Amino acid sequence: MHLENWMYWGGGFILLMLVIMMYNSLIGRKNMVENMYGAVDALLKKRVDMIPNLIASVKEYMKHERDLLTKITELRTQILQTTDENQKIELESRLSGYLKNLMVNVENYPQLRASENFIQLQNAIKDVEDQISAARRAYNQAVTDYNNAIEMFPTNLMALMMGWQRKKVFEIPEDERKNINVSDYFKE
Amino acid sequence: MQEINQLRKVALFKVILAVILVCGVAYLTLKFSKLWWHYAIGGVVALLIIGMAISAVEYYKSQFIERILKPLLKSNDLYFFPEEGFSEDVALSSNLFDFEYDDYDSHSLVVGRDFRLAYVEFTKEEEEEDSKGNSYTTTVTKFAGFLIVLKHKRMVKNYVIIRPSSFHLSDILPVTYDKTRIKMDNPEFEKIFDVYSKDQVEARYLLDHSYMELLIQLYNKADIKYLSFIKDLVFTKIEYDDFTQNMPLLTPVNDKIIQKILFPVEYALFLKESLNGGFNER
Repeated sequence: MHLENWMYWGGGFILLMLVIMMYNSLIGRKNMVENMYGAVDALLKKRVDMIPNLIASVKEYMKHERDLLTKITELRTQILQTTDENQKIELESRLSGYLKNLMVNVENYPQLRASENFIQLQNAIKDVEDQISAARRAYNQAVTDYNNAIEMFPTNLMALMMGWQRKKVFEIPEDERKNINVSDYFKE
Repeated sequence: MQEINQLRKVALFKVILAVILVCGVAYLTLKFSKLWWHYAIGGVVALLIIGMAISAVEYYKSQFIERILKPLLKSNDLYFFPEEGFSEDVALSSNLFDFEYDDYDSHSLVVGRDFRLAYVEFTKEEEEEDSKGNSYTTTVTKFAGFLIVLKHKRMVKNYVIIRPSSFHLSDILPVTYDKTRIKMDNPEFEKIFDVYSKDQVEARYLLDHSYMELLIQLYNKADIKYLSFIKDLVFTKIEYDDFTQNMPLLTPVNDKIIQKILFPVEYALFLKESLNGGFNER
């Protein structure tokens, strides 16, 4: 075979390898976004599952907070029933707010603050909150990577052919960016 | 301190005497002897003198360990085992030594509460060629320094490895994708370090914003470049001379020199407090 033919074959092979690498890189990024969304979702579910225990351990002491506890319980039921992703995120965000209120109000119940059971639960919730925050950051980074890949040359050409579009990042509330710590609410 | 300086002087005197005697024996043998067995006797005598000097130095070093290092460490609840070290498996499991090597050695183990460190050395035999085309083998040190293992308050199920930042083609040309690389959301941290882990969420759970700030501070204050979080342990390494290599023979022993010798221990204690203290603050 002539040198010219070898060059054509070699060039074609390199091009093919590049296309395969680009395709795999895009698929990797897309899958990572889905994985990270799944991780956030699983952790949010874990937090929702902790609510019955939380309510059970505080309702004895926090009789004056019945309204708040009822709202939390109702919100939990709604989260479990909804299938719409956007609505779920909105409900989760509301739940976070109510939980924060509940933790602030615990200040008024010294007996509850001394309860071993509650302290354990408080630590568990703090841990899940930290994990949710980490998962959201991971999701946002995965989305940023994905968005960069579908907008940067040459992967944008392939993304255009596959009809892929930009994804939205989670909007992390300002107070969460400061790495909110549940135990802060219990400081003297 | 006085006693050890006395021993140092004795060792130094013996070394100087040995140099003079060996030179003398060599001169006399070469000048006056013509028979092969004269040379042999001269050689044996020279070896004996050198051996005596080496044993004097070794005795001084062992006494330095027994009378200075061990008591000093023990007063801080630390225990020193000069002959012991980390097994090769432990060193490799740290994920901090990702190079090829032929020989591994470890000794000078210091054990404290929730931490331990030991001197480790990795060497490799490498073929080289001189200008005439003759090939020869040299031993190249790939790493010589201390491996430090600390207990950590926050457990990770997989691993999180922190290394100095390097160039990544995928950042400017997205044709490759490394799933194990964790891009952190702190630009300053990203400029200094690269993070690797199998678990994106766990790595970020460990390295939250306050902990990243802490690591940046540690990098600026103590030049920390490598960290490996595995289960409830943190591994790190620093290139530094073994304790015995810094023991002075020509100059008197003083507090400054002891501080220099024990720098890796101080460094490990500082890291233990700093890395775990970061969690206390949150």
